[in-house]
Amino acid sequence: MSPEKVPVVVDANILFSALLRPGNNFIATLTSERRFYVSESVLAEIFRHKEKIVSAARLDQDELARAYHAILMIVELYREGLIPTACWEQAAELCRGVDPNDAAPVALTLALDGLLWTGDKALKAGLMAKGFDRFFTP
Amino acid sequence: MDSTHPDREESMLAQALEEIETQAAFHIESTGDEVVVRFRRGGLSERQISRFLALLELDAIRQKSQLTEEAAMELADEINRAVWEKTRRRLGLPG
Repeated sequence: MSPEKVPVVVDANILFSALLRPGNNFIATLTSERRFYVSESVLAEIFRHKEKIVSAARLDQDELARAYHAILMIVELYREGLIPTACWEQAAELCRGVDPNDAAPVALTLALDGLLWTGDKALKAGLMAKGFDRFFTP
Repeated sequence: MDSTHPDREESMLAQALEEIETQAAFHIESTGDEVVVRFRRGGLSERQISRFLALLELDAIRQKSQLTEEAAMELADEINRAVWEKTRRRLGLPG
């Protein structure tokens, strides 16, 4: 697979960076022909947390719905059920001692043989110390 | 005839503007809250056009957003934790 075709898994913190005033990391997707992925459950959880997001960002429900739709125009959804158990186990092992809660994007990255796009520096450093270096840098 | 005569200059400018308008990379028409943009597709794929419009929309919303980096990281952590907890239970993996 050519480097430009390698799929990129977008961590939740990058999704939220789309709503940060100082900058929009998503601009990196504009000129890219890459495919960007998010697991379905992440989108479902964002929807479940919508009241909290609206409150933290001081946006109204309509604006959040529009942002949600715009994000769906940029990323593709991947069903967790399609991620092999072996990838979940490997991700859990890689995230142990770093942050076990970050296993989901790592498992999807392993399943797609892709690159992980995260803004979590501690996660990046911890995974690199364990030999995982498949990161996307815009 | 002097090519720099004011009338001729004005006529040439009008012609140039008309030509530019015809050949313009894009046209914008605004009616109230609705904007219609027309442009030549060129080599742009559907994905690139969708992403561009999505980024414009995100940019407009971002201008109003008061989300801080700390709150964004906290929300992202909560979401990742919820996804992982559900998956862990479903697959019977250790915590």
